[in-house]
Amino acid sequence: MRTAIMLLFALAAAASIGSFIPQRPINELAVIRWKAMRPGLGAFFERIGFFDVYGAGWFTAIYTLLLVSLVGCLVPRYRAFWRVWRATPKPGARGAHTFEGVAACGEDEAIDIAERSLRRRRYRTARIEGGVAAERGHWREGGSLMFHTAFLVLLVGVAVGKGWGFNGQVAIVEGDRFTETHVAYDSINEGSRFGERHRGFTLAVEDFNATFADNGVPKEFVSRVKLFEGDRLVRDTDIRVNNPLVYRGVSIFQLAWGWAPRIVIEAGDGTVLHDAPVVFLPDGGGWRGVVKVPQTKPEQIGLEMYFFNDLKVDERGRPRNVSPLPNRPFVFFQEYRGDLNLSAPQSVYEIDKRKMKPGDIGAVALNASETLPGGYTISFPGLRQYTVFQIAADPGQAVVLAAAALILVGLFPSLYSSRRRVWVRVRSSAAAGGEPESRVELSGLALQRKASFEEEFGAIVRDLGRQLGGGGAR
Amino acid sequence: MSVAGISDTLFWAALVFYGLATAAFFVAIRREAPGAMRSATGRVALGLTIAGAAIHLGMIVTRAVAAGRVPWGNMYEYSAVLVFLLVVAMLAVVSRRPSLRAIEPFAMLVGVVTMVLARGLYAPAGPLQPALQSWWLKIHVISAIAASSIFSIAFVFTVAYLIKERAERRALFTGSTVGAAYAGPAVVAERGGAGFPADHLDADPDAGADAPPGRGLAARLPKSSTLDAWSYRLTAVAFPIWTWAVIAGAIWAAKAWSRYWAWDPKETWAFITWVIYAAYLHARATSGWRGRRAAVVAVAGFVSLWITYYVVNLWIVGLHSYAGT
Repeated sequence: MRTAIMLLFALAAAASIGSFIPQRPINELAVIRWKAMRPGLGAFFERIGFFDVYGAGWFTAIYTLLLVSLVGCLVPRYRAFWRVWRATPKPGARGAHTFEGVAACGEDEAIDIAERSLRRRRYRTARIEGGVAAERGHWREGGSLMFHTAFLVLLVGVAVGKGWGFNGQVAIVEGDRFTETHVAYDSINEGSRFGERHRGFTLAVEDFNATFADNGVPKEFVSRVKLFEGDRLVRDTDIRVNNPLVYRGVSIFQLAWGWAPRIVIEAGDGTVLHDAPVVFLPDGGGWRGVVKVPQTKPEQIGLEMYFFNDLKVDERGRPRNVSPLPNRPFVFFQEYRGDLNLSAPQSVYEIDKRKMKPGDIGAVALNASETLPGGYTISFPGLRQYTVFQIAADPGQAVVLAAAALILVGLFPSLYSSRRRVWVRVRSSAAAGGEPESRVELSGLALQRKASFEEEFGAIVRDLGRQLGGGGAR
Repeated sequence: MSVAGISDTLFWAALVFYGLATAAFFVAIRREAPGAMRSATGRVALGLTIAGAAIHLGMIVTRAVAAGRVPWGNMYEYSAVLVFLLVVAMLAVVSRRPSLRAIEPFAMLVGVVTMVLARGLYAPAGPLQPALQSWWLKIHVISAIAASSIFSIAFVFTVAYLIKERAERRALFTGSTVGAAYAGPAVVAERGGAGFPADHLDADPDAGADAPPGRGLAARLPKSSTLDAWSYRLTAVAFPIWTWAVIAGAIWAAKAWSRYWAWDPKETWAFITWVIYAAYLHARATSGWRGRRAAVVAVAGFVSLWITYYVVNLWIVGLHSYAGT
């Protein structure tokens, strides 16, 4: 057990590291920033796995050792528990509490009464030479075994979820559809055993609504969705924060939302080069988005845009949003011309500016348009919202939940129950006037919680005294 | 005055009552012989505490009305409810075992400090953001509060134990002063018979709570084995509640964020706190770790509990960062 305690401390210490240093699986960007500020230390921490503590070999080693020590401890305890469970109650040599009384009945009857009385108190009983032995409180050890075993179960559930589950994110503009396949996600993590078993259903976002309190605190985010299996409508529902849509083992969570202004770009001859809602990501106090127009010649065009839903220019001349509502929607843009470099892999939310040079700048309000000196017309004829869903399957979750329940259920008897023994010996004694009489000796012993056993023992004595109808203590 | 305004006023009133009660308890503890009746000062202190708790309950109820939701939605409210439960738990323990009265000033001091810190974290009454609107969250938070308040009382017992145990050891070695009726080292394991191993864990916690050695405050404390047993008892009550709080939090996380566990700093520290208290409960059953060493582990658990609450919410950014506002 000393080893286990040391390992528990090691686990606590190791876990704490990950709360002070940014962790790659949680926030990759924070890790990059942290390393940029401290290059030397960053490289060292990288080598020893401090940026992914909970996936690091040494962290795994600590909890594996803990589990090994746990199993090593549990096996003999299970054996002992099995023996004790099956054994019949035996009397002890000497109880911590004893009582002697006289019963107004014969030996056999007194033993019967004592046995029944103890059974009513949920003691297991066994006849012994001239009496009865009783025992209860096996659940203390049973609960403890359940508690400890549940951790092994928990780990199995975690491993199943990691191996066979997946977890992806996707932004969908109101009115658009998304088909649940690998390529349709904006980002996705799949377990090594997941094997591309995507469900292939189609999710249509009808509408998204964010409501706010007067002070700007968000009250509710709701996505109205229809879920189709092929052409068949199978769900028509709302997805809210804390209220995911669950379908075929896949859960769809309301994660985030944002603005998707419809941006139209026309060439001087009226050719429409771009006409679609553009997803703008939150950036500082506003929103940032890009449009890439690869089909123009000789130069390709890129627009880098900032969007403000409720624009106000402060006294220092800086634009900002004064509310979360679309009261004064504006799009500011910076044009870039040159080569979008689309042959290189790149983000849809960034323009690769290495082969581009800045062109015109401008601003356009909702339902307005602006013609640039270069001949293009930029217009902003509509504003929609997009909703971001976290879509995940975790087949191990039920196992983890069951393990958690076992941990909790096992904890109570292991902390609050106690093993205790009571044994009764009865001897016939000479009766005055021919009435049957016997001498009754009670002994009791508790392993734990001795103070409360003292009360219980007193109650047992009182009960027996009443039922045996005899005299008091001698 | 608005309901929110009434709540804020009641907060100050409760704090004043608690402050006066704490001072009165500290005066009373010096005047009262252990085991004797409460002095007049002691009765005043108790009255102030009960009145303070009644006002405090009013503060919590009006807050709930003003915000239109359960009154544990931010750190200010969380702290306020924690202190209320701490005071109620203290009164419950002391009314059952009057011999433990000496812990009152210390428990109240913890309560007052937490209350003052709460005021520093004040936030106006208002609705919760969507991620926080969940029954699982409400259960998760109130369980965490309940466990924390009981852990806090257990911590008071642990510190009292460490003070007392030190005084007793000194008395033992120097044969000193006040401890005429003092019988020997505090933790005396009873030997069981009949193949039952000896059990030391909860030797009657209330046997002979009086006549302790030590000077000053230490002399007023019940004997160390009593303090130790109560520290253990309370931790054993708080631990399953904390376990439940962590589980409910994970269930909520699964509903709100699609994963039940992601080593977010709050999750990490809740886990660390759980691990340390688990180590304490194990340590109590392990030879060589009983007494002082186990008590040190309990103190570490409480420190970790505070880190989980204050440091993580205020200094470490995570998904729980909104808990501060």
